[in-house]
Amino acid sequence: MTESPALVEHPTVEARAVSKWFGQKVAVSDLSCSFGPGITGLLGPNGAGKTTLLRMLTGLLGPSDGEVRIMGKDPRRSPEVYRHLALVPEEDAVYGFQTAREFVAYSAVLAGTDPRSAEEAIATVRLEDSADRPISGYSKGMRQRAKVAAALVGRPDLLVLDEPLNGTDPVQRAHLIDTFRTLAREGHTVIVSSHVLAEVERMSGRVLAMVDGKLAAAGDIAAIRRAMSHIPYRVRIETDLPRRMAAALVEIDSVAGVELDGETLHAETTDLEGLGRSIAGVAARLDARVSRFEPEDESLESVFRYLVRRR
Amino acid sequence: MTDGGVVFDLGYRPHEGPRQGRMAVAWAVIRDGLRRVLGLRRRARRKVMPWGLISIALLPVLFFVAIGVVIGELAEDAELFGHAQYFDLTGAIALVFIALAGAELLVPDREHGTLAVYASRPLTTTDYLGARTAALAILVLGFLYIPHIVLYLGEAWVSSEGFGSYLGGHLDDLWQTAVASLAYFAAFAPIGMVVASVASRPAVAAGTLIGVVTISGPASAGLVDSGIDLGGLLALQHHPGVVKDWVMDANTHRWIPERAGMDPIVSLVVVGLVAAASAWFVLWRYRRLT
Repeated sequence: MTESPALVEHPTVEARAVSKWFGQKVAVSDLSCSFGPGITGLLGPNGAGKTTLLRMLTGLLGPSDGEVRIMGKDPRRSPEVYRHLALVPEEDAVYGFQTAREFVAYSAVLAGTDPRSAEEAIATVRLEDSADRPISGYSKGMRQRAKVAAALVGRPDLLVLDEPLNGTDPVQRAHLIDTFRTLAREGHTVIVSSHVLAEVERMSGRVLAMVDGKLAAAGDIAAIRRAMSHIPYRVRIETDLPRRMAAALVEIDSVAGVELDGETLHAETTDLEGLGRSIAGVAARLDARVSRFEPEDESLESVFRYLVRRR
Repeated sequence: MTDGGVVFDLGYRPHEGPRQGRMAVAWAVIRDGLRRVLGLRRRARRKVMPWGLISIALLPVLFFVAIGVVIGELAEDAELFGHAQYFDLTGAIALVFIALAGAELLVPDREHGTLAVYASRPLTTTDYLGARTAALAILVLGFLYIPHIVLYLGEAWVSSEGFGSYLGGHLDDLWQTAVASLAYFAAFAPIGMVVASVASRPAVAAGTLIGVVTISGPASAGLVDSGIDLGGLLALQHHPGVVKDWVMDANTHRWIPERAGMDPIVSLVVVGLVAAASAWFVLWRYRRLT
């Protein structure tokens, strides 16, 4: 067993005490982590340093301090490691004038594989119907899928995806998540960054959470969830009997406070699921109708800042 | 995917066959560069400039040779159609061609963010730049050299010596025009790559190269005419002409470096130094970018 949940026993990629600074700005600070077969979610708010870390992990950016190893080799000195790696960058990184089929076939050749394998990659991301249209006419989600296909076409052992689900619709998102899970199940190392907790939760058992260039949490989702359970969730509740509902809610132990805003209630709770279960009973007892029950504060930033403060 | 969901087997399998090496990947980048500059598989308007310039360089000599073949001789008093003289036409157009091609090869990769795509492949920065430069070299040398091949074959066709004898007896024309083409490429292309490596738009890169090289002539002439002979070194547009005349033993112009009393080897050295400095700069710039 390794000492830290940020490290795995048989790593494909390792970052050893890496730091990266740009002038006075420290983007990543003394961070050690490693990634092995399976999916690891790299989670953090915008500006946390995820992209910088991914660019260092893939050798696109040299660390200011520390070192990175892909399959035991320094990617900055061993271009052959790129035979095993594919990156889906956050930015568009496609030629608008090319069709997806041309772009993916070109990516296949760049990866040293047969351009005919483009068809399979295009089918994997379900882009067949639009594959012969110029990418410039694609929606954001379609561009994302074209980029993923271009990465998959090289059949990499290590797939690094920077916010790959940005702009995708729910159906596309579910399908891409299935694809990443399939790859992981087949023994590939898949690293996916996202600032959306729910996305990472759906695809990955292991998570590294970053804030301000530092590792804020690492391990499996459940463990991080437990770490986050101290933070009260703010929940928005809409009901036809808001005052009576507010009075009933404050009686529940896990509810830290209730605020009434017109017809809407804002409740703070440390047990979101428990409150969800309780509210049905409360509504039934009061003969009230609950038309909305949803967590308000889905921003991870506050959660991560909380984790950082605890360090 | 919820915990109760299903993961579909999409049939994706890791690649178990051989992978092409760096050379094959670099060749793919070269082919991409050729296609991109020539506007192949692009809209018609993207073909207008490259093919228009190629036509301007090639059609005059094609017509000249075609007419010569029909009437049985090439007009000897047509001054433009000497090998050394024809560079006066193609050399000037080559500057525009290089400006457009260099910009098209480098700028869109930064503009579209696709440098990361190359950087995350088994391709070093040097491989990438080498492949882009090779594409530019193939295009520019072809642009400059093919008209001379046409002229050479036309001369052989109408020659009283006989086709085969002419080809064998005038091989000097072939290597001299090849070296002269290389001089024009070496004089303009590296500066074009420098400009393209920093410009944010292809049109800006192309315009800057044409502007800088064109202005260097009058600026240099002004300095030389006012007695500053070292100003002749700045005549970027004229150095390849000097080298060309030197190699071809011709005297097509009173080039500014010659007016400054400079030996032709000075022009050759200037071209070489500018090319080396440009290559260093572009490599430095891209190593920082990637």
